[in-house]
Amino acid sequence: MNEILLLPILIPLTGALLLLLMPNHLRGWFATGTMAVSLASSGWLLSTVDATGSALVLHSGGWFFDGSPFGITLVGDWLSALFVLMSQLVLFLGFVYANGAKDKVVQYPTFYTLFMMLVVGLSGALLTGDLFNLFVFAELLVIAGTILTAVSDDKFGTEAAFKYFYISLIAAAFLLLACGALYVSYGTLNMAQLGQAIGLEATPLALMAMGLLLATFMVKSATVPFHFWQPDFHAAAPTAVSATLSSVVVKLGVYGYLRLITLLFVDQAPFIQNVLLLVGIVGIVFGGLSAVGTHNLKRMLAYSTLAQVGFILVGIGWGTPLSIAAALVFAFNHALIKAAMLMMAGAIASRAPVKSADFLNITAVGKLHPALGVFFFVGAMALAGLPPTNGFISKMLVFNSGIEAAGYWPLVLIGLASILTLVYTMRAFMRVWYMTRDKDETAVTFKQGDRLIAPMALVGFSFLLGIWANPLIEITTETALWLESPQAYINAVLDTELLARR
Amino acid sequence: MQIALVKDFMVFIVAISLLWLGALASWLLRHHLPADTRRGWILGLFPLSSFGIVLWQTLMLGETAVIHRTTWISTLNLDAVLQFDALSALFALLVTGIGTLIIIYAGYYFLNDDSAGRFFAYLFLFMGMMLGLVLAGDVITLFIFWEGTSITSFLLVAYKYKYESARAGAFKALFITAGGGIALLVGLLFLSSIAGSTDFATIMASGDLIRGSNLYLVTLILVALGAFTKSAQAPFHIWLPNAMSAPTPASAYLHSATMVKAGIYLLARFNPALGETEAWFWLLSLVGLATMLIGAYLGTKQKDLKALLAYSTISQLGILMMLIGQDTEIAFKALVIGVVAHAFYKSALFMGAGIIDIETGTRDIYRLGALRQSMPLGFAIIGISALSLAGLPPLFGFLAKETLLATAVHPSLPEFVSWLFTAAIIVAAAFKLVQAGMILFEVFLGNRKDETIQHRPLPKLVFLAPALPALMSLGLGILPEPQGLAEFFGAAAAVSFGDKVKVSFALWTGLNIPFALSVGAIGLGTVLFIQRKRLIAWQNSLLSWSFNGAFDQLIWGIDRASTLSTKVQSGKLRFYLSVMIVAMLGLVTISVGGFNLSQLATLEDLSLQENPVRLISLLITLLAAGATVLIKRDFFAILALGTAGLGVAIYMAVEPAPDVALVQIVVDILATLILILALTQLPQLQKSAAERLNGRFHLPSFIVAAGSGLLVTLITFTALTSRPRTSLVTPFYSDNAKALTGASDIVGAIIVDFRALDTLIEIAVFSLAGLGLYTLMRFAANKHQDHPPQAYINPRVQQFGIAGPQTSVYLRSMAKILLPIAFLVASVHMLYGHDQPGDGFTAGVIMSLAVGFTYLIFGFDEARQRLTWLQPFSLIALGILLVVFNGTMGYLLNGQFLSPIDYGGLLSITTLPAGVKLSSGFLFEVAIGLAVLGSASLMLDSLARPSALVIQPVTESESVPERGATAVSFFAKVFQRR
Amino acid sequence: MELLIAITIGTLFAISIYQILQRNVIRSAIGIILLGSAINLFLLSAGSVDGLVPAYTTLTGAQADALPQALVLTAVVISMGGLALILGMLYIIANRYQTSDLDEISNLRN
Repeated sequence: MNEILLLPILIPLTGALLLLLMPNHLRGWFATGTMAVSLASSGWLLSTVDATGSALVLHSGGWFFDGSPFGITLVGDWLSALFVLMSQLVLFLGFVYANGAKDKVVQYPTFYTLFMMLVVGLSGALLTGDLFNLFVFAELLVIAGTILTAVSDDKFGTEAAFKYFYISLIAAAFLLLACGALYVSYGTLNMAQLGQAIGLEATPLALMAMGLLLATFMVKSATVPFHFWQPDFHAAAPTAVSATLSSVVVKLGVYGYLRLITLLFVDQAPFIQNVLLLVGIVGIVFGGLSAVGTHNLKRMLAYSTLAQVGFILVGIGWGTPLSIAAALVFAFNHALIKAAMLMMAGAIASRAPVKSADFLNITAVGKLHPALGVFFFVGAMALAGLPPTNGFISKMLVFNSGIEAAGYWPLVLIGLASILTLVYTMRAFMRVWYMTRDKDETAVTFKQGDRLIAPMALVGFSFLLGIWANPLIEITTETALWLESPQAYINAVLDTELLARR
Repeated sequence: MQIALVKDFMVFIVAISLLWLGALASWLLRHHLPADTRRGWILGLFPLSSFGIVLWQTLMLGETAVIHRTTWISTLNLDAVLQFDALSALFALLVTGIGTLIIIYAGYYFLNDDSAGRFFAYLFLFMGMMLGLVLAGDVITLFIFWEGTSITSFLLVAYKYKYESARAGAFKALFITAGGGIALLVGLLFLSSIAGSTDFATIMASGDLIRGSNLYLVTLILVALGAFTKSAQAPFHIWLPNAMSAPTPASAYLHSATMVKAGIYLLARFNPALGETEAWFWLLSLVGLATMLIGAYLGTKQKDLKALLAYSTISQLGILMMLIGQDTEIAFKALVIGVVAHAFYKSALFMGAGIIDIETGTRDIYRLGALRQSMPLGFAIIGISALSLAGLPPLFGFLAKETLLATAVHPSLPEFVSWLFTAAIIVAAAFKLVQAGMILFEVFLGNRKDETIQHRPLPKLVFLAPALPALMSLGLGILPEPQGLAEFFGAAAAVSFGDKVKVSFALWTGLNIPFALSVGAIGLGTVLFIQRKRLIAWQNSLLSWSFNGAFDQLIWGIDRASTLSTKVQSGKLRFYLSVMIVAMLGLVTISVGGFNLSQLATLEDLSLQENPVRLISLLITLLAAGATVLIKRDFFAILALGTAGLGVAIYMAVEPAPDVALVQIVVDILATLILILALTQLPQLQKSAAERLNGRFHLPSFIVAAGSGLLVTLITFTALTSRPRTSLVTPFYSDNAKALTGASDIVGAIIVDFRALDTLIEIAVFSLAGLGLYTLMRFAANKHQDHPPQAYINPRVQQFGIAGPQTSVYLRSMAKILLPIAFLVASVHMLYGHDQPGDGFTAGVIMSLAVGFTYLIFGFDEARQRLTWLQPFSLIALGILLVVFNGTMGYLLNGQFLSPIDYGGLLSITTLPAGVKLSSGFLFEVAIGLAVLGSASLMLDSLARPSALVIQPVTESESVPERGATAVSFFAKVFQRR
Repeated sequence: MELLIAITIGTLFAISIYQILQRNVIRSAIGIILLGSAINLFLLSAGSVDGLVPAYTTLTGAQADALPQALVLTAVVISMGGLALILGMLYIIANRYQTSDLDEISNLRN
């Protein structure tokens, strides 16, 4: 049963390799099919976790003796299973979009392999229970993302990728330093063992490692002041990719924070949470303002990710089960919305006179596709947290948990800042669908756009999750409760009774 | 107030969905519905029927409110609740009743405009939201509909989106109302968290609890903010005049009868929970007072008929807000009457204004005039409504003002407040009289001012829609005491007052103070009206600070701040990295803040046993590394780097870590080579330009570097001094490696067995790098014409070795021999990687180096011809798939993924020469070797001649598929062999 | 001795960071490689025992800690791949922007 954990990693991996061996015209469909299977497997994973009510644990190679692991352990608990499902859902739709896209980059023989490896890296990083293995998977993720952006049709892609890769290398250095420091202190890299040991006694080195890990995850989740790579990178990546990067890949950092405060550094959690609260609020204000200030639709959405992730961090920062559940709901909903918005932005750009999402370039382009306007408007509402979309559910839950956690000042600030979301989303909508162009420009014959099944499906989901929110909230509440007790995770991985007896 | 739960509440859901059905119908049938007068009548059936439902329910409504709840989010036990009581009924009747008239009216307004389907759809959507809002019985349900009205009104105001004014008006309205919406949401959440439930019944019941809570004030302010923004209270009133750019039917509906009343409704509804306190009284009264005066004062300045009406609406809303503030029976009586009265005459006036607009083509009251001849009906209707606006007897508006004045002089108020209010109300009333007069005299009486205006009459039936409400306001005024109605109004008032309210419509209440006051008001008004020219001149002479200006300032401020915050993204990577590292150091410092650093490591436990080789290696590394900074020429700096790498290798060998040392050497060579290769690819000028940057001392970078160096020193020192430590894993490895994996090289065992998953992903990463480089150089670079122009490339380089000229026979034959030798060495590495230094990676690199040498000697083209068997894609795929296969076999045979298998044992090949073991480990090493070879050869392929495609352009589609095809067959063969 | 090693590794790390922060792209690439070496040395010194003999089951005595060595091997391979990628991107950028000055590679602003 525990082998289910391997499927979301191995299916894309195998698919990615088989893709290398087939003629170009088959690749798109094969990749999409593989992702569908992989998505199904991650759905199976979550339902199994739901059924067992505890974590699935797989000691790869079976290196598990006398109640403790000696190899690499994969752990699928509520948190990782939920995040894997979220990621693969969005990634699958990303593949669907790519399959219909007209970008040059999609035609490259290696495109789908690279994209698929991105999936492997993300799923693995979410499922692994070993710190160093997390580093390895994260590197796979980073390299795949870097290449995909470097070869993007956007001619700034390479520059963005270059900067991102440098920054990620530094982040990797942080992570390795942390690994070393923790191994020095506790002689293991298994997160469950580490959690147990740190719970008993936190050495100064461990605390240093905490700082380093925090920094690493802040880079991953593009949190101020580690965010510099993000606007460039997410704006320049090929649409299909940036839609997934800005929606789910940044959530790896969020996942990391949750592991830090609920498994590795439980006693130090208040400190981490205060830090997150601070950077979260800064991120919301900074991201919102920058999104208003920028001149490119994709870039605007990238900046808005800074702000939206900020809301999640504030939720984690409050640290009550309710607020963590709210943060998870927010993360899930944001993934859907942001992916949809970026895909639509890409579609709009590909209909503009020049293939660019620059506002001057896409003004009034919407009139070529009024139907898309409806979806974009709903997406904008969701992003701004207006009912009856899932964005409203997220915002309501976060605010509510804030009241329950008596975090009044953050609440006031994020309330004010969330008006900014309305400003930039509506401005963008009005510019693309309401404004008009002078004659000479409209004379340009517009190119045929991309297929829009994926974004429309995502907007559909957003709307559905706004009306029928209970299942998601139920799962996230379960997750938050599970995260309440670190011991549950530890017991699932280690045979604590046996260890206690010896 | 009792609550009764009833089952058959579906009727109200039907009533709401009927309106949305209307939206659907008018959108789907937008091309099929006739664009003439019939359209309005047909679509009018939808709101009419839901009006019927509401009316029917109202007649059946008793003392008790009926509520209906359906579970929405069970996890949060959050329900969707509808509640129907007298107050809801009153508003619901207005919403649906006037809605019907508006739809019919819109049919005429958009006569022969077949693109108006969109407008009808939006309007119906809004109606549904509005009806839901007044029927909601739960704060969340209420809020959802509340925001719904904001959004739909945005769509309606922006209906004529071609015009800048429409877009700006819509945006301003949305910004203000939705901004207030956020405040409202938080306020409602506060409210429900205090009351412990989200539904009205509980909240209204726990009024004392709420008023007692220490969060009362903030809750009140937040909720009030929501109401003020929605109901255009000063200073948020500015959105309403701008919203006049909406088509008139929308203005007549949203901005007179319904949406602007939402805030009034909200506060009236929550009076039992939030009201009856000092704060409540002062907040609402003062804001209302200000709004009333501002509206009245600014109204008279307007030229545009609709703008004038908008300001009089604002004024009226201020009055209603004031009324809620008072905690007296009579105030709530006045409230209900005022709401209804205003809804009637104002919608009539707006519709009339719309007709005038359509028929004459202008709304400028100073261009219009003498319309009494051309549109007598309109004169009658607007006349009545205007008099009602002026608050003259015998009209409904008179009642409203009467009761209002009565409220103001109510003994329960402090003396001076009472006088203040009275004075204000009289002034406002006077101004409203002037406004009414302006409508009548400028537009209908007098003589024509502008001859250019010609008159295109609409069908007479258009006047039906405005006529009905106008007559109502007349009728309610003059009919003698309609008892049932009075009771209904009383009940509605009672809901918000929380106690019985007696309502009477008696016009003549005797010669009491209110009457005297209203006479005074009328007198003052008349004077002002006669002197209106001077009045307006005086108003215009005043240097006026406008709230709109303030709003624009706000938006400007936001934009300014945004531009500043985007400046942070300076594009300078070095700046980004420095900030990051500093932030990291900061995080680490505050993380360990609690401890003093001496705890990390102490100089006592220094062991003084020296190891000369180590010292030397360290010295080499340090000097060489330092040299890379100091040396000016990049080429030599790279060589120094290579030396540093070798120093590291020696150190590793002494550690002792032979495997690592070996790989380090190999990698060091490779890295140096690639770096030099890259250097050669840079244009000469650029290189020299860049070299001029070298050796400049940069203090910030130095500080950052020093800080991070200190951190690493600290950690390393602690690590070293705390040796020997217990590792939870290593002892196990050294004890069981041989037994469990059959490997005597523990590191190798960890690589291919214990931590096989790491290795699997690691080679995936390496292969990906190769694929990436290939894609970058072969396709991406071409797409953007990145390759240097032809002139750069020495054409001979294309045919022959990198050196350019024809390479000697000796070299060529040497290269021919070197390749097989390299493969032999590599295979040795793979075979014995388990028992001695060296592993698949080393093997792969060695092979790739040989391949690289071949490229060097034979040049790109010939090398490609010689190495046809070298299919990087298939090698990579084969390699990694082999590992996956290996792992799967492990699962099939031992039930554990990636567990070691002794294939030799399985196939009973026990005795192989030279101690070769056919274990999974061996397969693993081979797999690594293949993948690395594939990837590395891709790198060489791309780097050796990145600009290959400049000479012979190859489109993406070709060159790869047939490679793939061969790969498929090759792949098939491989598996047949298994 | 420990102090010496620690300082050396720290200095190496510092040098690598300083190089990465240089304007000349080649120098910053050098910095990346040095960073890798520094990290690897650090990981080795994170080994739990001060080994005298390499980690082989055939050898007896104080064996060096094998796990960090394995980790280093993995890290080395990964950083190798990364290096190749960086150089590829450098080549593209150098030709696209006609500069090797990191500060001039700043077309992505605001």
